[in-house]
Amino acid sequence: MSLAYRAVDWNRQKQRYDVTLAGLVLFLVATFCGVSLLVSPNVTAETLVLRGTSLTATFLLHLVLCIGPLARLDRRFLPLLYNRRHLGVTLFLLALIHGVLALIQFHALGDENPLVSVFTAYRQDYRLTADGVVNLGNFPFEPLGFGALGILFLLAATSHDFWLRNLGASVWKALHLAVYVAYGLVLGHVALGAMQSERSVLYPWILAVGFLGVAGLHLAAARAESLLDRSGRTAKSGGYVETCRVDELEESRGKVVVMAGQRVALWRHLGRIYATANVCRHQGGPVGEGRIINGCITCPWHGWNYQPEDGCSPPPFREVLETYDVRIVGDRVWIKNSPNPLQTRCPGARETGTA
Amino acid sequence: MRTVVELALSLAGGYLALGMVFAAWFHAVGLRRLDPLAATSGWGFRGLITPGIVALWPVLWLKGRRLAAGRSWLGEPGAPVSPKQLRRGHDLLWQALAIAIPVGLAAAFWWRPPVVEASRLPTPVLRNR
Repeated sequence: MSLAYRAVDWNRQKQRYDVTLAGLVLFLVATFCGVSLLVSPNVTAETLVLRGTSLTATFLLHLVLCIGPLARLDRRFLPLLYNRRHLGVTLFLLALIHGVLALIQFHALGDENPLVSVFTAYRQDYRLTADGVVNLGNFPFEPLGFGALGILFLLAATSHDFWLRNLGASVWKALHLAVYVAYGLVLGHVALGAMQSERSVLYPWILAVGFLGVAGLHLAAARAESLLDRSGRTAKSGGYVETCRVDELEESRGKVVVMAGQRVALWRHLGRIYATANVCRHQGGPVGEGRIINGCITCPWHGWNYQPEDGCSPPPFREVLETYDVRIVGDRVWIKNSPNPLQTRCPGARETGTA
Repeated sequence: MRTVVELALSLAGGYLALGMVFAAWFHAVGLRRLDPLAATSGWGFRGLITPGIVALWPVLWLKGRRLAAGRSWLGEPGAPVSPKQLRRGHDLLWQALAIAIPVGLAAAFWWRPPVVEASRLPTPVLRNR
Protein backbone atom coordinates (compact mmCIF):
# COMPACT_ATOMS: atom_id res chain seq x y z
CA MET A 1 0.00 0.00 0.00
CA SER A 2 1.32 3.42 -0.86
CA LEU A 3 0.20 7.02 -1.36
CA ALA A 4 2.56 7.55 -4.28
CA TYR A 5 4.03 5.23 -6.85
CA ARG A 6 7.63 4.14 -6.59
CA ALA A 7 9.60 2.06 -9.04
CA VAL A 8 9.77 -0.73 -6.46
CA ASP A 9 8.51 -0.58 -2.86
CA TRP A 10 11.53 -2.38 -1.47
CA ASN A 11 11.35 -4.24 1.81
CA ARG A 12 13.37 -7.03 3.36
CA GLN A 13 11.17 -9.79 1.96
CA LYS A 14 11.30 -8.43 -1.59
CA GLN A 15 15.07 -8.14 -1.35
CA ARG A 16 15.37 -11.72 -0.15
CA TYR A 17 13.00 -12.86 -2.88
CA ASP A 18 15.01 -11.14 -5.60
CA VAL A 19 18.37 -12.35 -4.31
CA THR A 20 17.02 -15.92 -4.25
CA LEU A 21 15.60 -15.50 -7.74
CA ALA A 22 18.89 -14.15 -9.10
CA GLY A 23 20.71 -17.09 -7.47
CA LEU A 24 18.27 -19.57 -9.02
CA VAL A 25 18.67 -18.03 -12.49
CA LEU A 26 22.48 -18.05 -12.27
CA PHE A 27 22.45 -21.63 -10.98
CA LEU A 28 20.21 -22.86 -13.81
CA VAL A 29 22.14 -21.07 -16.56
CA ALA A 30 25.51 -22.18 -15.13
CA THR A 31 24.34 -25.79 -14.72
CA PHE A 32 23.04 -25.91 -18.28
CA CYS A 33 26.25 -24.40 -19.67
CA GLY A 34 28.41 -26.77 -17.62
CA VAL A 35 26.52 -29.89 -18.69
CA SER A 36 26.42 -28.75 -22.33
CA LEU A 37 30.18 -28.15 -22.37
CA LEU A 38 30.76 -31.62 -20.94
CA VAL A 39 28.50 -33.27 -23.52
CA SER A 40 29.49 -31.11 -26.52
CA PRO A 41 32.86 -29.38 -25.91
CA ASN A 42 32.71 -27.62 -29.29
CA VAL A 43 29.47 -25.75 -28.64
CA THR A 44 29.77 -22.00 -29.21
CA ALA A 45 29.18 -19.36 -26.53
CA GLU A 46 26.20 -17.89 -28.45
CA THR A 47 24.51 -21.28 -28.63
CA LEU A 48 25.15 -21.86 -24.93
CA VAL A 49 23.54 -18.57 -23.93
CA LEU A 50 20.75 -19.02 -26.47
CA ARG A 51 19.80 -22.40 -25.07
CA GLY A 52 20.62 -21.65 -21.43
CA THR A 53 18.30 -18.63 -21.36
CA SER A 54 15.50 -20.52 -23.13
CA LEU A 55 15.72 -23.46 -20.73
CA THR A 56 15.78 -21.16 -17.69
CA ALA A 57 12.89 -19.06 -19.01
CA THR A 58 10.83 -22.19 -19.66
CA PHE A 59 11.55 -23.42 -16.13
CA LEU A 60 10.55 -20.04 -14.64
CA LEU A 61 7.34 -20.05 -16.70
CA HIS A 62 6.40 -23.40 -15.17
CA LEU A 63 7.28 -22.03 -11.73
CA VAL A 64 5.12 -18.93 -12.27
CA LEU A 65 2.19 -21.13 -13.25
CA CYS A 66 2.64 -23.48 -10.29
CA ILE A 67 2.87 -20.80 -7.58
CA GLY A 68 -0.82 -19.84 -7.74
CA PRO A 69 -2.26 -23.33 -7.18
CA LEU A 70 0.49 -24.23 -4.69
CA ALA A 71 -0.43 -21.20 -2.59
CA ARG A 72 -4.11 -22.17 -2.79
CA LEU A 73 -3.32 -25.69 -1.60
CA ASP A 74 -0.83 -24.88 1.17
CA ARG A 75 -0.25 -21.49 2.78
CA ARG A 76 3.45 -22.29 3.29
CA PHE A 77 3.89 -21.44 -0.40
CA LEU A 78 2.41 -17.96 0.03
CA PRO A 79 5.83 -16.26 0.27
CA LEU A 80 6.47 -17.39 -3.33
CA LEU A 81 3.38 -15.49 -4.43
CA TYR A 82 4.37 -12.27 -2.70
CA ASN A 83 6.73 -10.97 -5.37
CA ARG A 84 5.67 -13.10 -8.32
CA ARG A 85 5.71 -10.07 -10.62
CA HIS A 86 9.51 -9.85 -10.31
CA LEU A 87 9.65 -13.50 -11.28
CA GLY A 88 7.53 -12.68 -14.34
CA VAL A 89 9.71 -9.74 -15.35
CA THR A 90 12.85 -11.90 -14.97
CA LEU A 91 11.23 -14.56 -17.12
CA PHE A 92 10.49 -11.96 -19.81
CA LEU A 93 14.06 -10.62 -19.74
CA LEU A 94 15.48 -14.13 -20.18
CA ALA A 95 13.06 -14.81 -23.04
CA LEU A 96 14.05 -11.47 -24.58
CA ILE A 97 17.77 -12.37 -24.48
CA HIS A 98 16.90 -15.69 -26.11
CA GLY A 99 14.80 -13.98 -28.77
CA VAL A 100 17.37 -11.30 -29.61
CA LEU A 101 20.20 -13.84 -29.82
CA ALA A 102 18.08 -16.10 -32.06
CA LEU A 103 17.28 -13.11 -34.26
CA ILE A 104 20.98 -12.25 -34.59
CA GLN A 105 22.22 -15.79 -35.02
CA PHE A 106 19.61 -17.11 -37.43
CA HIS A 107 18.13 -14.08 -39.20
CA ALA A 108 20.48 -11.08 -39.15
CA LEU A 109 23.27 -12.37 -41.34
CA GLY A 110 21.43 -12.25 -44.68
CA ASP A 111 20.11 -9.33 -46.70
CA GLU A 112 16.53 -9.85 -45.46
CA ASN A 113 14.97 -7.72 -42.71
CA PRO A 114 15.49 -10.01 -39.66
CA LEU A 115 11.94 -9.49 -38.36
CA VAL A 116 10.45 -10.32 -41.76
CA SER A 117 12.72 -13.34 -41.92
CA VAL A 118 11.33 -14.69 -38.61
CA PHE A 119 7.91 -15.02 -40.24
CA THR A 120 8.93 -16.03 -43.74
CA ALA A 121 12.19 -18.01 -43.61
CA TYR A 122 10.62 -21.34 -42.71
CA ARG A 123 7.55 -20.86 -44.85
CA GLN A 124 9.05 -20.51 -48.28
CA ASP A 125 9.12 -24.18 -49.21
CA TYR A 126 7.19 -25.61 -46.31
CA ARG A 127 4.24 -27.96 -46.73
CA LEU A 128 2.58 -29.68 -43.77
CA THR A 129 2.38 -32.91 -45.72
CA ALA A 130 4.81 -34.05 -48.38
CA ASP A 131 4.38 -37.33 -50.32
CA GLY A 132 1.55 -38.30 -47.98
CA VAL A 133 3.77 -37.97 -44.88
CA VAL A 134 3.32 -35.30 -42.21
CA ASN A 135 6.37 -33.09 -42.20
CA LEU A 136 7.11 -31.16 -39.03
CA GLY A 137 10.84 -30.92 -39.67
CA ASN A 138 10.73 -27.35 -40.97
CA PHE A 139 7.55 -26.19 -39.27
CA PRO A 140 7.56 -22.38 -38.83
CA PHE A 141 7.93 -22.57 -35.05
CA GLU A 142 9.58 -19.18 -34.53
CA PRO A 143 6.38 -17.09 -34.87
CA LEU A 144 5.01 -19.10 -31.91
CA GLY A 145 7.97 -17.98 -29.80
CA PHE A 146 7.59 -14.43 -31.08
CA GLY A 147 3.93 -14.43 -30.02
CA ALA A 148 4.80 -15.77 -26.57
CA LEU A 149 7.49 -13.08 -26.20
CA GLY A 150 4.95 -10.40 -27.13
CA ILE A 151 2.53 -11.61 -24.45
CA LEU A 152 5.29 -11.85 -21.83
CA PHE A 153 6.32 -8.28 -22.72
CA LEU A 154 2.76 -7.03 -22.21
CA LEU A 155 2.50 -8.79 -18.86
CA ALA A 156 5.89 -7.50 -17.66
CA ALA A 157 5.18 -3.97 -18.92
CA THR A 158 1.86 -3.83 -17.05
CA SER A 159 3.05 -5.48 -13.85
CA HIS A 160 3.33 -2.23 -11.86
CA ASP A 161 0.46 -1.23 -9.52
CA PHE A 162 -0.06 1.86 -11.71
CA TRP A 163 -1.53 -0.46 -14.34
CA LEU A 164 -3.56 -2.40 -11.82
CA ARG A 165 -5.17 0.86 -10.69
CA ASN A 166 -5.66 2.41 -14.12
CA LEU A 167 -6.80 -0.63 -16.07
CA GLY A 168 -9.02 -1.71 -13.18
CA ALA A 169 -8.40 -4.90 -11.20
CA SER A 170 -10.79 -7.03 -13.29
CA VAL A 171 -9.30 -6.00 -16.66
CA TRP A 172 -5.78 -6.30 -15.28
CA LYS A 173 -6.39 -9.81 -13.95
CA ALA A 174 -8.07 -10.84 -17.22
CA LEU A 175 -5.11 -9.46 -19.19
CA HIS A 176 -2.69 -11.42 -17.04
CA LEU A 177 -4.58 -14.66 -17.72
CA ALA A 178 -2.85 -14.41 -21.11
CA VAL A 179 0.13 -16.07 -19.42
CA TYR A 180 -1.66 -19.36 -20.17
CA VAL A 181 -1.76 -18.49 -23.87
CA ALA A 182 1.96 -17.71 -23.68
CA TYR A 183 2.50 -21.09 -22.03
CA GLY A 184 0.72 -22.89 -24.88
CA LEU A 185 2.78 -20.95 -27.45
CA VAL A 186 6.05 -21.73 -25.64
CA LEU A 187 5.27 -25.45 -25.56
CA GLY A 188 4.41 -25.30 -29.27
CA HIS A 189 7.63 -23.37 -29.99
CA VAL A 190 9.78 -26.01 -28.25
CA ALA A 191 7.82 -29.05 -29.48
CA LEU A 192 7.87 -27.91 -33.11
CA GLY A 193 11.36 -26.43 -32.96
CA ALA A 194 14.06 -27.96 -30.76
CA MET A 195 12.18 -31.24 -30.33
CA GLN A 196 12.05 -31.77 -34.10
CA SER A 197 15.71 -31.07 -34.77
CA GLU A 198 17.05 -33.21 -31.92
CA ARG A 199 16.15 -36.83 -31.29
CA SER A 200 16.93 -36.67 -27.58
CA VAL A 201 14.10 -38.01 -25.41
CA LEU A 202 14.85 -35.17 -22.98
CA TYR A 203 12.63 -32.60 -24.74
CA PRO A 204 9.44 -34.71 -24.85
CA TRP A 205 9.98 -35.76 -21.24
CA ILE A 206 10.60 -32.22 -19.98
CA LEU A 207 7.53 -30.87 -21.80
CA ALA A 208 5.24 -33.73 -20.75
CA VAL A 209 6.33 -33.75 -17.08
CA GLY A 210 6.11 -29.94 -16.95
CA PHE A 211 2.60 -29.91 -18.40
CA LEU A 212 1.39 -32.74 -16.16
CA GLY A 213 2.79 -30.93 -13.12
CA VAL A 214 1.17 -27.60 -13.98
CA ALA A 215 -2.14 -29.17 -15.00
CA GLY A 216 -2.20 -31.50 -11.97
CA LEU A 217 -1.65 -28.65 -9.51
CA HIS A 218 -4.36 -26.57 -11.17
CA LEU A 219 -6.79 -29.50 -11.03
CA ALA A 220 -6.04 -30.11 -7.35
CA ALA A 221 -6.50 -26.41 -6.53
CA ALA A 222 -9.75 -26.25 -8.54
CA ARG A 223 -11.05 -29.27 -6.63
CA ALA A 224 -10.17 -27.68 -3.29
CA GLU A 225 -11.94 -24.46 -4.33
CA SER A 226 -14.98 -26.39 -5.50
CA LEU A 227 -15.18 -28.30 -2.18
CA LEU A 228 -14.98 -25.00 -0.28
CA ASP A 229 -17.77 -23.50 -2.38
CA ARG A 230 -19.97 -26.52 -1.72
CA SER A 231 -19.36 -26.38 2.03
CA GLY A 232 -21.85 -23.52 2.55
CA ARG A 233 -24.35 -23.95 5.41
CA THR A 234 -28.04 -23.51 4.80
CA ALA A 235 -29.48 -23.03 8.33
CA LYS A 236 -31.03 -19.57 8.47
CA SER A 237 -32.79 -17.57 11.13
CA GLY A 238 -33.92 -13.95 11.02
CA GLY A 239 -31.66 -13.04 8.09
CA TYR A 240 -28.63 -14.73 9.70
CA VAL A 241 -26.85 -17.83 8.40
CA GLU A 242 -25.05 -20.38 10.54
CA THR A 243 -21.40 -20.75 9.55
CA CYS A 244 -19.11 -22.63 11.96
CA ARG A 245 -18.30 -23.26 15.62
CA VAL A 246 -16.47 -20.57 17.58
CA ASP A 247 -13.67 -22.97 18.47
CA GLU A 248 -12.96 -23.52 14.77
CA LEU A 249 -11.61 -19.96 14.65
CA GLU A 250 -7.98 -19.42 15.65
CA GLU A 251 -6.96 -16.24 17.44
CA SER A 252 -5.98 -13.51 14.92
CA ARG A 253 -6.27 -15.87 11.93
CA GLY A 254 -8.94 -15.76 9.26
CA LYS A 255 -11.30 -18.53 8.25
CA VAL A 256 -13.14 -18.54 4.94
CA VAL A 257 -16.78 -19.66 5.02
CA VAL A 258 -19.34 -19.75 2.22
CA MET A 259 -22.72 -18.11 2.57
CA ALA A 260 -25.26 -18.03 -0.26
CA GLY A 261 -22.49 -18.64 -2.78
CA GLN A 262 -20.35 -15.80 -1.41
CA ARG A 263 -17.11 -16.29 0.47
CA VAL A 264 -16.87 -14.43 3.74
CA ALA A 265 -13.86 -14.11 6.03
CA LEU A 266 -14.39 -14.71 9.76
CA TRP A 267 -11.96 -13.32 12.32
CA ARG A 268 -11.41 -13.99 16.02
CA HIS A 269 -9.46 -11.20 17.67
CA LEU A 270 -9.13 -10.12 21.31
CA GLY A 271 -12.31 -11.84 22.42
CA ARG A 272 -14.52 -10.73 19.54
CA ILE A 273 -15.66 -12.30 16.26
CA TYR A 274 -15.80 -10.21 13.06
CA ALA A 275 -16.88 -10.95 9.50
CA THR A 276 -15.64 -9.19 6.34
CA ALA A 277 -15.70 -9.75 2.59
CA ASN A 278 -13.02 -12.17 1.46
CA VAL A 279 -11.82 -10.32 -1.67
CA CYS A 280 -8.87 -7.96 -1.25
CA ARG A 281 -9.30 -4.63 -3.07
CA HIS A 282 -5.77 -4.87 -4.43
CA GLN A 283 -5.62 -7.99 -6.61
CA GLY A 284 -8.60 -9.94 -5.34
CA GLY A 285 -6.52 -11.99 -2.92
CA PRO A 286 -8.29 -14.17 -0.31
CA VAL A 287 -7.98 -11.93 2.77
CA GLY A 288 -9.60 -14.66 4.89
CA GLU A 289 -6.48 -16.78 4.48
CA GLY A 290 -4.44 -14.05 6.10
CA ARG A 291 -3.90 -12.94 9.70
CA ILE A 292 -4.54 -9.98 11.94
CA ILE A 293 -1.22 -8.22 12.49
CA ASN A 294 -0.96 -5.11 14.67
CA GLY A 295 -4.76 -4.98 14.85
CA CYS A 296 -5.24 -5.04 11.07
CA ILE A 297 -6.45 -7.81 8.78
CA THR A 298 -3.49 -8.44 6.48
CA CYS A 299 -4.01 -9.93 3.02
CA PRO A 300 -1.72 -12.95 2.53
CA TRP A 301 -0.85 -11.98 -1.03
CA HIS A 302 0.69 -8.51 -0.74
CA GLY A 303 0.02 -7.39 2.82
CA TRP A 304 -2.80 -4.91 2.26
CA ASN A 305 -4.40 -3.89 5.58
CA TYR A 306 -7.99 -3.48 6.77
CA GLN A 307 -9.45 -2.82 10.22
CA PRO A 308 -11.72 -5.68 11.34
CA GLU A 309 -14.34 -3.36 12.91
CA ASP A 310 -15.22 -1.33 9.82
CA GLY A 311 -13.30 -2.98 6.95
CA CYS A 312 -11.46 0.30 6.25
CA SER A 313 -7.75 0.49 5.54
CA PRO A 314 -5.99 2.44 8.27
CA PRO A 315 -5.61 6.17 7.46
CA PRO A 316 -4.43 7.66 5.15
CA PHE A 317 -5.46 4.77 2.88
CA ARG A 318 -9.03 4.57 1.59
CA GLU A 319 -9.66 0.99 0.52
CA VAL A 320 -12.68 -0.64 2.19
CA LEU A 321 -13.99 -4.18 2.61
CA GLU A 322 -17.64 -4.91 3.35
CA THR A 323 -18.41 -6.04 6.89
CA TYR A 324 -21.16 -8.35 8.07
CA ASP A 325 -23.07 -8.37 11.37
CA VAL A 326 -22.18 -11.36 13.54
CA ARG A 327 -24.11 -13.18 16.28
CA ILE A 328 -22.98 -16.01 18.51
CA VAL A 329 -25.69 -18.50 19.37
CA GLY A 330 -24.46 -21.19 21.75
CA ASP A 331 -21.11 -22.19 20.31
CA ARG A 332 -22.07 -21.28 16.72
CA VAL A 333 -21.17 -18.24 14.65
CA TRP A 334 -24.05 -16.75 12.65
CA ILE A 335 -23.55 -13.95 10.14
CA LYS A 336 -26.06 -11.71 8.45
CA ASN A 337 -26.73 -12.80 4.89
CA SER A 338 -26.11 -9.35 3.37
CA PRO A 339 -23.18 -6.99 3.95
CA ASN A 340 -23.42 -3.67 5.75
CA PRO A 341 -23.05 -0.44 3.75
CA LEU A 342 -19.36 0.34 3.23
CA GLN A 343 -17.52 1.87 6.21
CA THR A 344 -20.22 0.77 8.67
CA ARG A 345 -18.63 0.34 12.07
CA CYS A 346 -19.46 -3.14 13.30
CA PRO A 347 -18.15 -3.96 16.78
CA GLY A 348 -18.26 -7.71 16.22
CA ALA A 349 -19.74 -10.25 18.63
CA ARG A 350 -18.24 -11.42 21.90
CA GLU A 351 -16.95 -14.98 21.74
CA THR A 352 -19.13 -15.85 24.71
CA GLY A 353 -22.27 -14.86 22.89
CA THR A 354 -23.16 -11.62 24.68
CA ALA A 355 -23.19 -8.37 22.74
CA MET B 1 3.04 -13.92 -47.37
CA ARG B 2 6.01 -11.58 -47.42
CA THR B 3 3.80 -8.61 -48.30
CA VAL B 4 1.42 -9.37 -45.45
CA VAL B 5 4.31 -9.67 -42.97
CA GLU B 6 5.94 -6.46 -44.19
CA LEU B 7 2.64 -4.59 -43.98
CA ALA B 8 1.91 -5.92 -40.48
CA LEU B 9 5.40 -4.99 -39.27
CA SER B 10 5.10 -1.50 -40.77
CA LEU B 11 1.75 -0.99 -39.04
CA ALA B 12 3.21 -2.23 -35.74
CA GLY B 13 6.18 0.11 -36.17
CA GLY B 14 3.86 3.06 -36.82
CA TYR B 15 1.72 2.16 -33.80
CA LEU B 16 4.78 2.03 -31.54
CA ALA B 17 6.16 5.31 -32.97
CA LEU B 18 2.85 7.01 -32.13
CA GLY B 19 3.08 5.36 -28.71
CA MET B 20 6.49 6.97 -28.12
CA VAL B 21 5.14 10.41 -29.02
CA PHE B 22 2.16 9.80 -26.73
CA ALA B 23 4.48 8.63 -23.92
CA ALA B 24 6.45 11.90 -24.09
CA TRP B 25 3.20 13.92 -23.84
CA PHE B 26 1.83 11.62 -21.15
CA HIS B 27 4.86 12.06 -18.90
CA ALA B 28 4.76 15.83 -19.37
CA VAL B 29 1.01 16.40 -18.97
CA GLY B 30 -1.28 13.37 -18.95
CA LEU B 31 0.04 11.28 -16.09
CA ARG B 32 -0.77 13.66 -13.25
CA ARG B 33 -4.20 14.38 -14.77
CA LEU B 34 -5.05 10.70 -15.06
CA ASP B 35 -3.77 9.50 -11.72
CA PRO B 36 -3.17 11.85 -8.77
CA LEU B 37 -1.03 9.19 -7.05
CA ALA B 38 1.54 9.65 -9.84
CA ALA B 39 1.88 13.41 -9.32
CA THR B 40 4.89 13.15 -7.01
CA SER B 41 6.37 9.94 -8.37
CA GLY B 42 9.98 9.78 -9.50
CA TRP B 43 11.71 8.93 -12.75
CA GLY B 44 12.36 5.33 -11.76
CA PHE B 45 8.61 4.72 -11.69
CA ARG B 46 8.12 6.67 -14.92
CA GLY B 47 10.81 4.59 -16.63
CA LEU B 48 9.15 1.37 -15.53
CA ILE B 49 5.73 2.25 -16.89
CA THR B 50 7.00 3.70 -20.19
CA PRO B 51 7.08 0.41 -22.17
CA GLY B 52 3.48 -0.19 -21.13
CA ILE B 53 2.48 3.35 -22.16
CA VAL B 54 4.03 2.82 -25.60
CA ALA B 55 2.23 -0.52 -25.97
CA LEU B 56 -1.17 0.49 -24.54
CA TRP B 57 -1.35 4.18 -25.41
CA PRO B 58 -4.88 4.07 -26.94
CA VAL B 59 -6.23 2.72 -23.61
CA LEU B 60 -4.69 5.58 -21.62
CA TRP B 61 -5.70 8.14 -24.22
CA LEU B 62 -9.34 6.95 -24.21
CA LYS B 63 -9.42 6.75 -20.43
CA GLY B 64 -8.05 10.30 -20.17
CA ARG B 65 -10.71 11.59 -22.60
CA ARG B 66 -13.50 9.84 -20.72
CA LEU B 67 -12.34 11.18 -17.38
CA ALA B 68 -12.08 14.69 -18.84
CA ALA B 69 -15.70 14.35 -19.95
CA GLY B 70 -16.71 13.31 -16.43
CA ARG B 71 -17.24 9.67 -17.29
CA SER B 72 -15.50 6.59 -15.93
CA TRP B 73 -14.01 3.78 -17.94
CA LEU B 74 -12.58 0.37 -17.02
CA GLY B 75 -14.18 0.70 -13.59
CA GLU B 76 -13.35 2.87 -10.64
CA PRO B 77 -9.87 2.58 -9.11
CA GLY B 78 -10.06 0.16 -6.21
CA ALA B 79 -13.18 -1.64 -7.46
CA PRO B 80 -12.89 -5.29 -6.42
CA VAL B 81 -12.18 -8.20 -8.71
CA SER B 82 -15.05 -10.60 -9.30
CA PRO B 83 -13.53 -13.95 -8.24
CA LYS B 84 -16.35 -15.87 -9.94
CA GLN B 85 -15.74 -14.22 -13.32
CA LEU B 86 -12.01 -14.69 -12.94
CA ARG B 87 -12.46 -18.35 -12.10
CA ARG B 88 -14.76 -18.79 -15.11
CA GLY B 89 -12.11 -17.29 -17.43
CA HIS B 90 -9.50 -19.49 -15.82
CA ASP B 91 -11.64 -22.59 -16.32
CA LEU B 92 -12.28 -21.79 -19.99
CA LEU B 93 -8.59 -21.25 -20.71
CA TRP B 94 -7.66 -24.48 -18.97
CA GLN B 95 -10.29 -26.47 -20.82
CA ALA B 96 -8.77 -25.24 -24.11
CA LEU B 97 -5.21 -25.94 -22.95
CA ALA B 98 -6.10 -29.38 -21.57
CA ILE B 99 -7.10 -30.42 -25.08
CA ALA B 100 -4.67 -28.42 -27.24
CA ILE B 101 -1.43 -29.12 -25.37
CA PRO B 102 -1.58 -32.94 -25.05
CA VAL B 103 -2.82 -33.29 -28.65
CA GLY B 104 -0.14 -30.87 -29.91
CA LEU B 105 2.66 -32.54 -27.95
CA ALA B 106 1.60 -36.03 -29.02
CA ALA B 107 1.44 -34.95 -32.69
CA ALA B 108 4.81 -33.20 -32.49
CA PHE B 109 6.34 -36.32 -30.92
CA TRP B 110 4.66 -38.79 -33.26
CA TRP B 111 5.61 -37.00 -36.46
CA ARG B 112 9.16 -36.11 -35.56
CA PRO B 113 11.24 -36.43 -38.73
CA PRO B 114 13.47 -39.48 -38.75
CA VAL B 115 17.17 -38.83 -38.31
CA VAL B 116 19.38 -41.56 -39.67
CA GLU B 117 22.69 -41.73 -37.85
CA ALA B 118 25.77 -42.71 -39.88
CA SER B 119 26.52 -45.68 -37.61
CA ARG B 120 23.06 -47.13 -38.31
CA LEU B 121 23.24 -46.81 -42.08
CA PRO B 122 23.46 -50.10 -43.98
CA THR B 123 27.02 -50.92 -44.94
CA PRO B 124 26.49 -50.60 -48.74
CA VAL B 125 25.27 -47.07 -48.27
CA LEU B 126 28.40 -46.19 -46.32
CA ARG B 127 30.54 -47.92 -48.94
CA ASN B 128 28.88 -46.01 -51.74
CA ARG B 129 29.76 -42.75 -50.01
